[in-house]
Amino acid sequence: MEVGTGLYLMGLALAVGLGLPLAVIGAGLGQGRAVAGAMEGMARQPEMAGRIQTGMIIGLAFIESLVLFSFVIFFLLQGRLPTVSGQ
Amino acid sequence: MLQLYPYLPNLIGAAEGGKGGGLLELLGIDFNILIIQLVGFLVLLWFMTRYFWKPINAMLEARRQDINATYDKIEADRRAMEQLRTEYEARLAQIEAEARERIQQAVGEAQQLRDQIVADARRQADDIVARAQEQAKLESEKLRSELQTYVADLTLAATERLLREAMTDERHRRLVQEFIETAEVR
Amino acid sequence: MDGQLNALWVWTQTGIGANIPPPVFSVLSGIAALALLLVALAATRNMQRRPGWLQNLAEITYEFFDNLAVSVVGEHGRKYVPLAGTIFLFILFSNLMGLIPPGIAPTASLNTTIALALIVIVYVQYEGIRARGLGGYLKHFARWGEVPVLLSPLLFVIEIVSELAKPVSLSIRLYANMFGKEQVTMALITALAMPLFKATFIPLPIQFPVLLLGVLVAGVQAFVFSILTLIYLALATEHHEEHHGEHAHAH
Repeated sequence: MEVGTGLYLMGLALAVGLGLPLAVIGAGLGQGRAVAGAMEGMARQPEMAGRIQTGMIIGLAFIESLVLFSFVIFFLLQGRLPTVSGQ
Repeated sequence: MLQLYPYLPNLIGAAEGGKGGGLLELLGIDFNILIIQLVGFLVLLWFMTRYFWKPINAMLEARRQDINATYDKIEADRRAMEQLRTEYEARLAQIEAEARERIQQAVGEAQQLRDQIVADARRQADDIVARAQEQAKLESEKLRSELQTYVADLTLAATERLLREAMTDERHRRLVQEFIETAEVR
Repeated sequence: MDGQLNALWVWTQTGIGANIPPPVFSVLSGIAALALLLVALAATRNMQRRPGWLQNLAEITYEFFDNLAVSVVGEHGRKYVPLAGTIFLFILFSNLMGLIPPGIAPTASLNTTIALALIVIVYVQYEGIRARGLGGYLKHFARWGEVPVLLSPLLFVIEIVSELAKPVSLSIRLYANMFGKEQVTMALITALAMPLFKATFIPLPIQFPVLLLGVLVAGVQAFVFSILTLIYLALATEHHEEHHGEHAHAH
């Protein structure tokens, strides 16, 4: 195996292993902030709770979709990893 | 150098010529299926609009109008009832006023009658009194005239006795005086 | 049973649905659509003034989307109720299909979600052109009259890109959610539950929490897809520009 290919495969493995967790960390922080803000808003104005909740869910879906993009990339890259069986 | 090409997904699968591991194939995208899904959803949308959303909309609209009509009717009924009630109240008040007036009138008539009766009675009493007085007056006049006649008779008798006894002038006078004094009776 | 599980295992291992032939998803979404149609017909057949539970449910659904469309798009949004509502119901039924054991969610295939997103985005452009005219539609892209003239071409390009990103984000969001849920379920079954069952004959449903989460995700993703449809329609057809910051770049 060439050195370059080995480097490439190492980078690929790191990307497959770390890409999604990194995205999850960022999105988790973002979702936490969003929910905290929404809860505070609901506590201050309980009569607006329904609309705030709708907005919160939409916002969470947007943040989550960023993780899911990286999830798709994760699967694309995972398909590129060579199998290790029988070596 | 690095031969990265075989590892990078080809953006357009067809460029590789079929089973080349292009991005579209990797993602499982098949244009025929895509078109079928698209048409399928459009058909579903048409059916749902025709047999689901529109009938429900019509139903809700009908119910809304129904409710509106019912409320309008209730409002109208209420207003009519209110009007009827005011009418009854007015009529009742009128009847009451009429009754009161009639009683007042009756009371007035009774008062009048009483006054009349009292006045009649008084007048009659006055009449009786007046007649009694007149009668008394007549009686007294009659008595006086009788008395006068009597006095004249007495005088005549006394004169006769005087003449018969031949009394002095002095004594005569005194007697007359006495007589007059006694005769001054009413 | 074992053969089917093996096929699914291969599918989860090799990713992105290549091993389940796309026509399967086509049939699956056909089943979902048929189920939805049957329920819809049962709800609207023999409608009465005093609704039964199914008719009541249908009316609540209608009222919900009516209120949503009016609050997001405005008074002229009522005509988008069928589109947004059908998208919601179809996606909900499709997603829930993935929770019934032999089924896979049709929305776990990009073919289905891209078809939906394409319909939405083409309809949004059509409504945009109809509401503003072709000139107004293009001006809206360039933010003509809102920004300095020199900035307009740049904004035009940015807006075109953001418009193209809309269907991509719409379809990939839904697809990745459902596909991810299926993947995690299958991974838990094949990597934990199956070996446990083979070793001890205890059928422990380790994937159960994921299925619970799947119910939530099924509803939320269907709702997000349909409310985004309404928001895109609102952006394309709004008459006054001052509300723009509210939903801008919503993807």
